[in-house]
Amino acid sequence: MTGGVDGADWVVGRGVGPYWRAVAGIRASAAHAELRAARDWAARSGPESLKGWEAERSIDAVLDLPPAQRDALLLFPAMDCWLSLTPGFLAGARTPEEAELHFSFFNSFAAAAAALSGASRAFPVRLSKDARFHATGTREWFEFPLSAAGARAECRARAGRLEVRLGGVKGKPRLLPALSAGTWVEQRDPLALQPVVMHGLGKTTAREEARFAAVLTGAMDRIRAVDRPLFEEMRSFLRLIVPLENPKNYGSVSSSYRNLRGALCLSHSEDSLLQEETLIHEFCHQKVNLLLAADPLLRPGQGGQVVYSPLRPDARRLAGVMLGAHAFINVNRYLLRVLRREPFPARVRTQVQQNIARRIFHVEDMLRTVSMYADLTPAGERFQTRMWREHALVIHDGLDIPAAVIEEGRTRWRQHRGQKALGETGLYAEASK
Amino acid sequence: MNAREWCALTGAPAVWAELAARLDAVDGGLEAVFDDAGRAGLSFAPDAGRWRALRRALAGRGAALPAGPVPERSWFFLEGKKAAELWNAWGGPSPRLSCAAPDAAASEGPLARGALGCSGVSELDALLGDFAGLHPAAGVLTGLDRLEVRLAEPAAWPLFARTDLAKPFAGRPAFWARRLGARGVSAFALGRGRMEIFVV
Repeated sequence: MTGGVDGADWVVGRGVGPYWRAVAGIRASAAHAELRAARDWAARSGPESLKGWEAERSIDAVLDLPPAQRDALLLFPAMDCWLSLTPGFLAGARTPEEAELHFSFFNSFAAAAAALSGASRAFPVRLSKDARFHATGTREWFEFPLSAAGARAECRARAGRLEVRLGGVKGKPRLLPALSAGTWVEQRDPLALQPVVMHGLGKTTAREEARFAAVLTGAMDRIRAVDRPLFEEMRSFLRLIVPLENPKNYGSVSSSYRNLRGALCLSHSEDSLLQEETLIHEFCHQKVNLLLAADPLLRPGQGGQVVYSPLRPDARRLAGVMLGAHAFINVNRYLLRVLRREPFPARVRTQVQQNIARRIFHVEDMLRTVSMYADLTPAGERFQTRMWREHALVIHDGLDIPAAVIEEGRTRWRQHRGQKALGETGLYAEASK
Repeated sequence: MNAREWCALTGAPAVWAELAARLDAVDGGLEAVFDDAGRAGLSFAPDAGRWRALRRALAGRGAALPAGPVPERSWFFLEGKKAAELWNAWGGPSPRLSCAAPDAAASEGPLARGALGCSGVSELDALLGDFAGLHPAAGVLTGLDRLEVRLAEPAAWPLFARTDLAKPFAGRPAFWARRLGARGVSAFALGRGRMEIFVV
């Protein structure tokens, strides 16, 4: 093991032990350094307009929090996104106007810091284009008349309570719906939503939002019952769930973003098992994205390599295939455990088994491709070896899947491979034409 | 595991399903126990209520609960509708095992120090030592002619089965693979010429 990064212990849920805390701590330390660099830039090289937003003071308010609160805020998904955009400013690649916009929105985090610390402070804040202000990192947000969109308001914090005013108008305080004490449904805060581009954002009514949260709460309850260590990791790291629209009525659409660690996006479904599967799938991507903050897994120089993916009609990057294998190992493992714990109608049981059977072959194919083509770091090698082992355990756990169902999965995978892969290689066939 | 899983895993007669359901009050509270002859049983951590339920269920089924405090863990093997070989593990600074059989008084054995590899039997010590290198132990219980090792974390059956220690189960690998899948082995016991495993 080098640099505190094992890799093997990251494949399936292990709970929030020392290793989890070490990796999360590495990311929090990096975020701390990035935020300090942003502060120094704002103080020394930033445009004059930042002073009007008290940028340094606001960043200090976050940096000066007690370590537990500070790290929680540094690991908040919107902070991840804000920090990912900051190097462009520090490199002088963005205009002063853009810098003012970027740093003025940091005061959303400063409001959260004030709420968490109980500090007394009054400072300027910028309302969003939807005339809202979010204390990003807490559940609180404030609603103003739409005419106030983009306006400069004032936030007053005292004894952990926030008040936001625009002239004589007081923002209406609201709370994000909660799945649990630390995981909330978010569909409004621009700081959290700006990277979400893969699918359209859901536009839900309050009732739909409540239903979305209720199904996910039930899903998390079952994850806790079936895989407690994984649940503990999710509870520790997953802060925001973003509802997506599903206009083509696919079973489910979902996404995760590398610069939005701690937030996952998915569409609503009344099917709790489907939501559990999606939560676990996307959370696995979150986990790997967190691990990547500590170790790249793939040695540098392979970013552009694309290979055959049994999951898609097009080619996929090697790292993506690795992520896919990781996610479906965990999904298969989970579904098999649920099937043996609970009674399901025969039709549903068969459907779930069909999905598992197909994915067993998908995972094996993806693991094989990674083993064939990837140059891995030591932690990456341990991660890959453990994935093979966990996949083998899934195969053992799946021994009670009827042979015909397994064969059907094999046939469907072979058909896809025959159409898209170059012979028995891991290469995408069309890429070679 | 829950009662449903336990019933499916052990193939227990219906008379035991009701007891398992009653004991399954706490999530993950049940374990299945198997010996190398393929005999199955139920293992669980009782509280007062569960202890009473077990006492009622066992009445007239070939075993009776011993007097004394509620143990940390209790298990028994199934012989159809009868229960056989009821065992209890008491807590305390020196955990010990006791058999319900009247001639089997509880006692501490030479391994009660809690370390693997100090049984005094060199072949067994070597086996246990090698095993602990793969799957660290959380604790050792001994008494009379029986040694039980509880693992620091459950070892998936295919990984447990590969160890030299699991040789008594090695004669029927496909049978056990089909039965146990990748379930975790949380503990094993050696003694009286046989091996037992506890499965979660």
